Amino acid sequence: MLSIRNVRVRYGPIEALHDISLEVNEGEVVTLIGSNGAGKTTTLGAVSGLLPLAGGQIHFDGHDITSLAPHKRVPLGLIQVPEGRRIFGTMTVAENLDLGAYARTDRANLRNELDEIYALFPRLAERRNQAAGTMSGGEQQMLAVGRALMSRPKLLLLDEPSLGLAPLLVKEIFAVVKRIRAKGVTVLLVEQNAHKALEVADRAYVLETGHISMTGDAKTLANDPRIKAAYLGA
Amino acid sequence: MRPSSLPFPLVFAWRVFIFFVVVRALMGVQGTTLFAGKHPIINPYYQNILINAGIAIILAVSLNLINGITGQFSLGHAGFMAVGAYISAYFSKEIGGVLFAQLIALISVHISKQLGTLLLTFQQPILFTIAILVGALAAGAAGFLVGLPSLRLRGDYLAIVTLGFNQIIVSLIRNWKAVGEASGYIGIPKFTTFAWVFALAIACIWSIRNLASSALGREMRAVRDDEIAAEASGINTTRVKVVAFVYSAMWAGVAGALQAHYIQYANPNDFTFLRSVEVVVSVVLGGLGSITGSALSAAGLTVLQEVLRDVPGAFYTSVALVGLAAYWNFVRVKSEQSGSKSMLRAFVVPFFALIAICLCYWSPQVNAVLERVFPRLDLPDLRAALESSKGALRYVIYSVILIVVMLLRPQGLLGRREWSLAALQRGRRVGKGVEGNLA
Repeated sequence: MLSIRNVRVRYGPIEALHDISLEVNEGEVVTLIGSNGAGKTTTLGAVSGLLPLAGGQIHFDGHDITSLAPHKRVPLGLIQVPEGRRIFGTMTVAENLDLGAYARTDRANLRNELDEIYALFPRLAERRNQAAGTMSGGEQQMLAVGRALMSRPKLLLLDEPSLGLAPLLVKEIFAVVKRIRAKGVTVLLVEQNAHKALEVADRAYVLETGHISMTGDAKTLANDPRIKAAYLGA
Repeated sequence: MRPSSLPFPLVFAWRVFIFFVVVRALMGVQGTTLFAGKHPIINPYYQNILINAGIAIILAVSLNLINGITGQFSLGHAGFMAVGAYISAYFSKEIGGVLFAQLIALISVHISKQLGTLLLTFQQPILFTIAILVGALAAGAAGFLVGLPSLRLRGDYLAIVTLGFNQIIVSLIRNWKAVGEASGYIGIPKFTTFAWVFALAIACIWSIRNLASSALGREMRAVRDDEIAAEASGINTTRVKVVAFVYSAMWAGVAGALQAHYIQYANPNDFTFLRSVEVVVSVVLGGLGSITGSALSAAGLTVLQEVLRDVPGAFYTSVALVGLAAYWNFVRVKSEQSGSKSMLRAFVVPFFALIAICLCYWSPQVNAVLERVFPRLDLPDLRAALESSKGALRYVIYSVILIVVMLLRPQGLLGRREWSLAALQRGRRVGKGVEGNLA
């Protein structure tokens, strides 16, 4: 469904991604793990179009999206939940969700989508008229995910969903990832919490300073001694 | 849109208008117009203030679209205003009249003489409408040009670019022979009347309010709240920002056209950075993002300008200011701690400020008493000093107002709230305004 070939990304003169290639198949949960500064968020930025490429190609669902503007990638079914939640703080929860459906043309089915999301996140339903910026971090993260789901994506790019959340909420967020997958949405998950990420994912890529150093089945990687030593703290 | 959800200034303005119409009808004074003639209801001095206030309202409300609602920072509003003023003035002075005369001649000869004479009687409003449109379009084109770099720049950098744009426009005008270069453009026909300004101010508030609560307005607020998230949600942030710049610049152009055709003179010095800052001040003072706030503070600052011309006016303003500051300070202290001691402390500074103001105001009398007791003292007459400074005093009080507001109410007078008349009638201010009405 998503294939990234030989992608390079530069921040000014510094190359952050050197020649990255990866595949995400339909229905999978794929995770990108790696330490700080390895290029995980940069990879997602390249896929969603927020960062320009210095080389390589990206194909999504049969389209070449290498040089497509970000707002034109969303209608194709590709959406990113940016790192650090980034909800629209002065707007209400309902307005935030509405903006998630911004790129959709089939406005008629919106009602069902909204009900589904409220069913997925009951807290959002309770707070639908509250200003989004006044909610807790966990609720904001739920809102960010809900907002992305409103665009009815085929592929969801999740960037550090557990960032800054309490352990209980981290558990809840990963349960949500499983439920999203059950709905048939493909997920590309970037996570620092490698342990949890490998638990929910089918396959994983390990990023190290802008290279993919390892790849494989998530269960196998979780038992790999090198991964255990470097990322799982065992 | 339900009438009760119309913004407060709009409904208020409408009621004032109705009031004048009714008064006029009751008085039964002979005359064809409401505000001109032998016995206008509003005397020319107050009309002058109201016209200036109307122009200030158009400027502030339109700038609020960029600075408050879309969250970009423009410091070049006077530049757009200058484009509108000069282009529309050039049109109505050099092009419009000739073109219109030829058109009338053509119509009278080829179509019908009656239509020609009919058009001739409406020459002034037709010409002015076209002039305003031309000015607005030119300013909108300038807004498009400035909007383009804003796609790449954020915050301070954008502010500097817009400031630079303002300077460029002023420099261009200073070197443009056809419009009098640095000595100003004279002989612009007097088209602007109170009614024009009033109608256009209402149109401005109405259209920007509607834009802000439309889908496009929500996109603008999304860009303000978080540009990256907006982009990731599929919003074309480029388009949103350019639309905001163009639309806002068009209204600034309208304000410029109104001003040029009111004072019948345009000088590049009227459109410098200082004028832009004045507009920014009223937007920030009223509350970034609040249309009601922009309109109220723009009108308030214009009135203040007049009030501050004399010393008693400055005195009463200062006293009111201290009262307002004391109230805010009281509210703040009350929310932080309780107890009568802290309450007392909340009023210490305002109390001394009040005494200082009174000492200045009555300084001749105070000096006389003090000099009788201590004959050696040679006290300065503060009141005389203030009186001789005349208009300059207002800049001091402007600054004090800004400092006080920014210290005690950093979100501006209204924050992001809007007042609607319906809410006022229910006896409470509706919390969220534009935001709230959409939910």
